[in-house]
Amino acid sequence: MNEINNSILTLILLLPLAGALLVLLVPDRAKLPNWIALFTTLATFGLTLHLPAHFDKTQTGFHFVVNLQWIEKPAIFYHLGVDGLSLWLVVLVGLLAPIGVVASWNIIRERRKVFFALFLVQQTAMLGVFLSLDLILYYGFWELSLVPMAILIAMYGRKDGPRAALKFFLFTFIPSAPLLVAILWLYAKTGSFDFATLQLWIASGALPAGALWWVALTFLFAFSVKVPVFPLHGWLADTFSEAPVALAMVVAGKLGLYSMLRFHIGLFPAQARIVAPVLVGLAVVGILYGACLALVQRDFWRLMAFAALSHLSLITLGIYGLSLTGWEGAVYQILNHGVVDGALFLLLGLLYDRYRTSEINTYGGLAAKLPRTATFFVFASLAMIGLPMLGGFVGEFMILLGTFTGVSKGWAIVATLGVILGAAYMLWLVQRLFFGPESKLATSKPPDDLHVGQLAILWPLAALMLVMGLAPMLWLSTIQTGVHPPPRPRQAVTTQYPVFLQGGCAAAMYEAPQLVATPELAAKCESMEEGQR
Amino acid sequence: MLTAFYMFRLWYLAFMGTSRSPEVHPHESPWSMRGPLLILAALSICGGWIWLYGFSEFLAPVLGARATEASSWRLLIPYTQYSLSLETVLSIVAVLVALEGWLIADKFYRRKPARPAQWATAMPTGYKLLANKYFVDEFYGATVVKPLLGFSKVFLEWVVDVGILGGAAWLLGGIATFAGALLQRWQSGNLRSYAAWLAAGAAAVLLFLLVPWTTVLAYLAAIHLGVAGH
Repeated sequence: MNEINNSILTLILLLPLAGALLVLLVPDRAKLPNWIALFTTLATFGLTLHLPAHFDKTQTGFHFVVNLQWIEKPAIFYHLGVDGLSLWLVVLVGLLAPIGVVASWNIIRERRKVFFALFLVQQTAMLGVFLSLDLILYYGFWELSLVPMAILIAMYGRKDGPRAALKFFLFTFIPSAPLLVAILWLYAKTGSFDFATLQLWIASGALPAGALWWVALTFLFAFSVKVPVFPLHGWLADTFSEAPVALAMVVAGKLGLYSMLRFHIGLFPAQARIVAPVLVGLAVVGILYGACLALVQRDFWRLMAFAALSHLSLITLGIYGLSLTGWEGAVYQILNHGVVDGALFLLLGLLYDRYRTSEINTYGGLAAKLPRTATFFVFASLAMIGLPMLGGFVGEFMILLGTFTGVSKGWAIVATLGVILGAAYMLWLVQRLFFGPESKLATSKPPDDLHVGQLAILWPLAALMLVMGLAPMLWLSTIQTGVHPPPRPRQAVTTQYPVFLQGGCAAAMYEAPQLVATPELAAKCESMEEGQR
Repeated sequence: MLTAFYMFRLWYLAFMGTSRSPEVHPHESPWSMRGPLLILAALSICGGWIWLYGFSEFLAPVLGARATEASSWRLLIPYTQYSLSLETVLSIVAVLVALEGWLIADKFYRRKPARPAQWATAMPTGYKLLANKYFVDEFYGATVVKPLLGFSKVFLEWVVDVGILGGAAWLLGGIATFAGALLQRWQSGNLRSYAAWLAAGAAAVLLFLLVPWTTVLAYLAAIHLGVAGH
C-alpha cells in the first residue's frame, strides 16, 4: 500500500500522457482513438479515487508527497502532493475527462487522433497544476494547459476558430509571461522554487517589500485572467462559442481559482489582504454583470459564458472575502460548478450537434420530443441556480454566509441579487429551449433522445448533484483539513491559523475577514503582524 | 364562501355543460394518478374531523410552549369554556357559508350561464382589473424586467462589453498581428537585404566601439553645466 501511495500521483499525472502517445501510435480507424481515450480517462479517474479513499483526514498538510531532485542547478524538484484544497479538484478533473470524451464521441468526426491526443495532454496539464508544489513544475503545467486548448479551438471552432484561439491565447499567455518573471525573481532572491520554502521566506520579511508587492500582483493578474475576473473576461464568450464541448466544460474557473487560493493567498497573505477589497468589489460587479449579460444573450454558448462569469465571480468573492467559511464554500462551489457545467455542456452539445444552431429563439417545444434531455437539463439548471437539496445551494450559501458575516452585509446582499438573476436567466433558457409552442426546428428532425452512453454519464451526474446537496460533509470534511486549523494543534499556538497559510501574516490573515470592512480591525491586524515579526 | 364559489365555478366549467373544445378527446387518468388521488380524497374527507384543540400544542416543540399558548385560541376562548357545542356551531356555520358559495356558482355557471358575461359588461373596469390579475405582472414588466433587459443589452453589452472591453482586446490583438506583420517582413529570405542588415549592424557596433563615449558624455555634461552656470 505504501508503494502505491508513493507513486499514485505520478501514475495519475502520467497515465493521460501515455494514453495520448498510444492514441498517436494506433491507426485512426473505427473510433479506436475514442475508445483509447475513454479507457485512459476512466482509468485515470479510478486512480484519482484512490486519493480520497486513502486520505488521512486527521493530518493536515500535504499527502502522497513525491519530492525528487530533477535538476540540480537551478534547483528544480519533481515535487507533488495533495492536501484538502486540491484533493477533490484532482478527482473532479478525473471525473470530467470521461464526460468530455463521451461529449465528443460523435461530434468529433475528423482528425480524431489529433483531438483525443491533445485532449489527453490537456488532462495531464490540468492535473499537474493541481499537484505541483514546485513553482517551475507548476508553471510548466500551467503553460502546457494553454497550448492544446488553443490548437483545438483553432482546429475545431464552429464559425471562426482561429480568431477565437488567437484571442484565448493572447489573453491567457500575455499575463503568464510576467508570472514566469515573478517566479524567477523569487528564485533569484531565495534560491528555491519550493512552495513551502518560499512561503517561509516571504513570511520571514527578508525579501524587499516593494518588489514583493509587484510579484504578488503579477501572480494575481495571471490568475485573474484565467478565472476570469471582471473586466478580464474578454476571451470567455468567444472561447465558449467556438471551443469543442469537451474543452469548454473544463476551460474556465478551476485552474485560476485554485491558483488564487494556493499561490496568491497562500504565498502572499499580507499582499492578498491589501488587494482583497478590490477583488471583492470586482467579484460582486462580475456577478451582476455576468448575470445581466446572460439575460440578453441570443446564443446559448454565450449565455453559458456569461453565466460562468457570474458563478466564477461568486467563487472569487468567497476566496477574497478571506473567511474560512468562504474558502470552504469556494472549493465546494468549484466542484459543484464543474459537475453541473459538465452536465449542461454535454446536453447543449448534443442539441447543437443535432440542430446545428445555438440560436436560442429558433428552439422551443422540445420537451415533448426529447423528454429525457429536457428532464436532465431542468435538473442540472436547478442545481446551477442553487435549489436547496442540490449541490449549488451548499456552495453558494457558504460563500454568501461568509461574505455576510465576514466582509460586509451590503456586498452579500448585492451578490444575492446576482443569484436571483441566475434563476431568471437559467429558467428563461429552459423555457425557450424546451417549452412553449413547438418550433420548426423541433419538427424538422425525428425525435432522437439520449442514448445509453449519455445516460450512463448523466444519471451518475444527477445523483452526484443530489448527494452533494444532501451530504456535503462527505466533501467538506476533507476540504476543511486544507483550510481549517487542526482540531488539536500540535504546536501551542494562541491564534489558530488556516493551515495553508503557515506564514508570518497568518495571524493577521485569520482576523482578516473583518478587516475588509473596518479600519479599526485593519489597524489591529497591522499590530499583530508587527508583533509576529 | 369565495373559495367554495371559485372551486365550484372551476368544477362546473371543467366537467359540466357542453364541450368548448371539441377537437380534444378527454380520457380517464391511469391508475398511477388515480391511486394517489384516491388517497388524497380520503384524507381530505377525514381532515375535517380533527378536534378543535387537537393542534394547539402541535408546534410547541418548535415555537416554545409560551409562544403557542399566547397565540392559541385559549386567550380568546378559555380552556374551561370549551365545549362540544361551540365546535358544532362553528362547523355548521362554516358548511352553510360554503353551501352559499356553491349555490352562487351553481346559479352563475349552470342555471344562468349568460349571467357572468352580463356582469362583466356591466362592470368593465372591475372585470378588467381582475381578469388581468390587478396588472401586477405588467407593473413588474414595465418597472423591472424591461429596464433591466434594456440596460443590459444597450449599456452593458454594446457599450461596455463590445465597445470598451472588446475594443481593448481588439487593440491587443491588433498590436500582436501588426507586430507579427512587421517582423515577418524582416524574415524575407532575401540574401541581399540580410547582407544590408548585417552591414548596418556592423556599422552600429563599430560606432559603439570607436567613439570615445566617456569623452563625448563629459563634453556634453560640461556644455550643459556651462549653460546652467550662466
